[in-house]
Amino acid sequence: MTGPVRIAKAGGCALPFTFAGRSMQGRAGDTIASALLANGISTVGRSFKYRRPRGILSAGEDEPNAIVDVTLNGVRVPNVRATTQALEAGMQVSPVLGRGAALLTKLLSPFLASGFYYKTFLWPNWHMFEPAIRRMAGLGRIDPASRMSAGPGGNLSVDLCVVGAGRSGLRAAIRGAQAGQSVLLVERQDVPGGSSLWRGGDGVAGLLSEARAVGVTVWTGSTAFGAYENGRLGVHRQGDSVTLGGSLWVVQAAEVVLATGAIERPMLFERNDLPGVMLADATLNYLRRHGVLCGARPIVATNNDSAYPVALALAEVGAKVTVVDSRPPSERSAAAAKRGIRVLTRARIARALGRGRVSGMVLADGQRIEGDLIAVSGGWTPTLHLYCQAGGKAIWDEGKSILVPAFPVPGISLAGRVAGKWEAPDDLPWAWSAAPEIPGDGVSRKVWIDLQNDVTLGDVELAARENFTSIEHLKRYTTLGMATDQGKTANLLGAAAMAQATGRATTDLGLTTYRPPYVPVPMAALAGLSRGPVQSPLRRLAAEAAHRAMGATLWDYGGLLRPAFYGADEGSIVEECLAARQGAVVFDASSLGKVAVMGPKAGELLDFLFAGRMSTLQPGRIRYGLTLNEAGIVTDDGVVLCLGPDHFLVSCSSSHVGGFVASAEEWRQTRFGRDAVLIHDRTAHWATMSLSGPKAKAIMAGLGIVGTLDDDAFPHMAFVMGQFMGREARVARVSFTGERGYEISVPAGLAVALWPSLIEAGAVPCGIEALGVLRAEKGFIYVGQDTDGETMPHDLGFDAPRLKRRMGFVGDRALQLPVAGDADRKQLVGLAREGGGVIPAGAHLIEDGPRRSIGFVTSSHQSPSLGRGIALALIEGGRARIGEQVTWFDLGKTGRATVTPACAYDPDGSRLHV
Amino acid sequence: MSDRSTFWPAPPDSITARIEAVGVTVTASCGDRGVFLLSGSSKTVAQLVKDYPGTLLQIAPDRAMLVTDAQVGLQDGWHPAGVAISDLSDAHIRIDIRGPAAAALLALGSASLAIDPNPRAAAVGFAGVTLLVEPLPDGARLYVERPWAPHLWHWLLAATQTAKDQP
Repeated sequence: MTGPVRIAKAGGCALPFTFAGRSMQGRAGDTIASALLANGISTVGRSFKYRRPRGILSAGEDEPNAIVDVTLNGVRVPNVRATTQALEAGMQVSPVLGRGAALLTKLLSPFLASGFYYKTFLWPNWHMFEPAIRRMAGLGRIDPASRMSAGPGGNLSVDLCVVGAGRSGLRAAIRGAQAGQSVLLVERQDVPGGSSLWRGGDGVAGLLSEARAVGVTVWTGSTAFGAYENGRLGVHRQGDSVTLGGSLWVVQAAEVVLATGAIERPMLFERNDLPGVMLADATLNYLRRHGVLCGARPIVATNNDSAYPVALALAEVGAKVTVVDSRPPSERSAAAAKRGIRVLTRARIARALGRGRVSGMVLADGQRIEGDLIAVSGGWTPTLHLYCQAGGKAIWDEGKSILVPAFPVPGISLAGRVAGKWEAPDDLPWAWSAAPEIPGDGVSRKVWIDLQNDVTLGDVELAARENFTSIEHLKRYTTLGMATDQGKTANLLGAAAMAQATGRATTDLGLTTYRPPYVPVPMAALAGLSRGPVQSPLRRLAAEAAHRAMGATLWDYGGLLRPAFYGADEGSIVEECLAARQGAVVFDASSLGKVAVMGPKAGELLDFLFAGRMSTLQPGRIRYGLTLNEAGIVTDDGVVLCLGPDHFLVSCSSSHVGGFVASAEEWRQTRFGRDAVLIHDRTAHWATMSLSGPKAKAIMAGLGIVGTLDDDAFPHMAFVMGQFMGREARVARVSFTGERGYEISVPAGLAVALWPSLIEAGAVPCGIEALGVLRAEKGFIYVGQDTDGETMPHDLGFDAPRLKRRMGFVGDRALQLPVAGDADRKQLVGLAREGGGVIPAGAHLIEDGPRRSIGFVTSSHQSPSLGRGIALALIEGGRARIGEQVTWFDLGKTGRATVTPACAYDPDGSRLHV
Repeated sequence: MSDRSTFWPAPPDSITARIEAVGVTVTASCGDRGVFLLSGSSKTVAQLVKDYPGTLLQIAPDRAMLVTDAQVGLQDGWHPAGVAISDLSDAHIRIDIRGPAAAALLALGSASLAIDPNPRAAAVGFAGVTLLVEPLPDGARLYVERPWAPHLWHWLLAATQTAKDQP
């Protein structure tokens, strides 16, 4: 008999599955790894770089090799850790890395040392090689058609969160609950008990019963993967199936106890990556929890006492065990020998033997030992990840030969092995900590330190020779400690190897930073409910149902779902444009800001916020204005309505409401006094329909919302109050199309009634696409589209803020700087394409002579009213170029255009009064 | 241009919308109560509304929202006592979450509510938006601004449908 085999006859029900296409059977309660071992599988995949055969190393989240792809019920899940994933019936398991280009990489391996990318792919350039390398690199393959589901997760607040349900964790949880704390106990494994489940130990069942009796909430199958600010832990709860991503929980705990145990380290010797080399503790886990004997003739190689119980357990089930202990003889080695185990002390393993799987080993003195399993224990590394993520620092204690916390972190305490405490299993001396043993000179450097990234002792020494001697540089140069296992078995060995190569102490070298997540968390769990329309929600219009009923094509514009056009296709846009010029259209403008500014200093605040005086507005009147930032750059435009001497309403653009309110709040609190002026965002309360066109007045008259529409009493840029369905309505004469316009604002609950009223009265529904054309014909801007991060008011034709030299508003000083007066500032102008057609939006404009961009097209449309293409552009010294011709350039295409004034339609504004 | 009206599901009817799930009932309503935003010194605001029956939700030290069924004499604008008043009766959709499982659903949407179901400030982040919370004996009433109400409703639908799958 050679290799692993299931020796336990009894067990859970049979679970059929396949591995690499081969049919196998596991048992309920198996992990994928234990099921593979039970079926005699030694090699579970190939290594990342050299494509060397690799077997299962561990039995937990530290596993570097047994990473597999799983397909179940048509859902493919990549990069599943076989040592922690429960087996399910019907799983199709495959290695993430097959044999592939094994021969090629074997031949090339002498050239594939650390940094070979940087040294090799220099000529002609990296980008030539990158696509092929990217295809070869990486672990697993994502199937875009496979979608994992996930639970919503949530938030939980407790007094105490204990991470790890071994004996230490259970005791801490019980103490907390007995003291009156609400306690959550989080355990990665599917049952509580920690390593007691395979190491044994009295009282776990009793402790668990007691914990439940005192009210401790126990979450099994749950991993605390991250410690964040203010005592928050990220906890991933596994789903019932590999295809369910589980759920993500944010646990807010006043106090955290980490009872996370320790991770066993491998030993370093030549060919230590051979399948059949396993961690000693893992072999005990598979034996005790799954009834799998990983080798009939195991060699237990160790430098500490923790491997002796493993050797004894293996011997108890009939295995022919040899212990190779690098230390002198001890009471424990003598006790093992008395039990019939062959024990070699002061013996160091030099090399593993075997082809494709372990068949023995060679000791440093040349002695050969036959065996089918090498169970190694190179010492233990306390799992201090969460402590470090919470702000702690792990340092190597040379005296204790163990990693220890450098200082306490408030709110976090440690219990059990993670705190350097391991209860002895018997009365004998118990020495479980040990320093890493790094092979000295004279032996092969093909000794694997990081199995997942194929980093060898030679790679570390190469990094040292090339002066990448800090632990952080070592990580980046060699990739040691990266990828899905994050170097849980490799980091300390790598640090020790670098310390030896550079003649330093491991303490001085330190460790790389531990960052969340401790284990990979499925993206599905991270997303939780945030998928589909809930992922990145849009604001909605109150009258959306009415727009849908009219066949609106809806699109997302600046965080809002708005009607793009009404009708079967984009041809409707032309009809809507013509209707605005010839009849009347109605546009849902409800998202425009409605920000009330109230108080004795309301006018003063608005004078400060706008680059134009607003305090002189009379009640019932409206004024257009621009807001700037401190650099004098235009941040928004809008209109201000004066409702009374101490009451104004700012209608800023839809996408800038939040920004305007935030800015106004800041200034009113810091400059004008909190009680002198107050700001209310009322945008959501009002729905606004914008009626526009030469027939708008007649339609308004038919609606009867306001008493008078006489232009003398109700001129352009004025508003009146009225009634709609018995509630207050406000009608403002403003226009964004250039035609006579009425903006009708009613309480939002009436939006669905106002919209059809306007349609029935003869208005044509108009979407945002047509509005974009109509306003561009007039040269009206969209701030952010027709402006850039340098545009000042005078670049848009608003010269007053600069020329009048009025001071006392945001951006005033910047407008007086020399740069603001440069003749070659980019200014807003129009363009007419030579030969007709539409200039591509975004096209660069090229000066005749030296080929240099002098600006770009900000908006461009076919104008149905003018029968030609129109465009707005920001061009250096644009206004002085009116009448000149420029060349436009876009994605290799060029053409000529004439610079025109920005306003292409009704430049004298007479249509406002038609 | 792709039509996004299918990706973004139609908003629910805020009069009839209702979710029945295990241990929790969610209903929506709007528009039938007076809602007023009042800003100014908290003492002055309290004095101004002391005679009006209803609920005063404290949003910030100088900001509160009065929700009332009564006819009140509050006018939009600047009150001489030094209080700014705005009628927001149509600004929100009210969403009631009630039942024995309401607390769990509320904690799912908000870390703040997970810690304290009766927050001192009514404004909390919930399911990615800021809204106002009025605690109820068997749950809570959420005041969400109309533009965000469809998102919140669809989030609640997803949460109540998938909550049963929670491990």
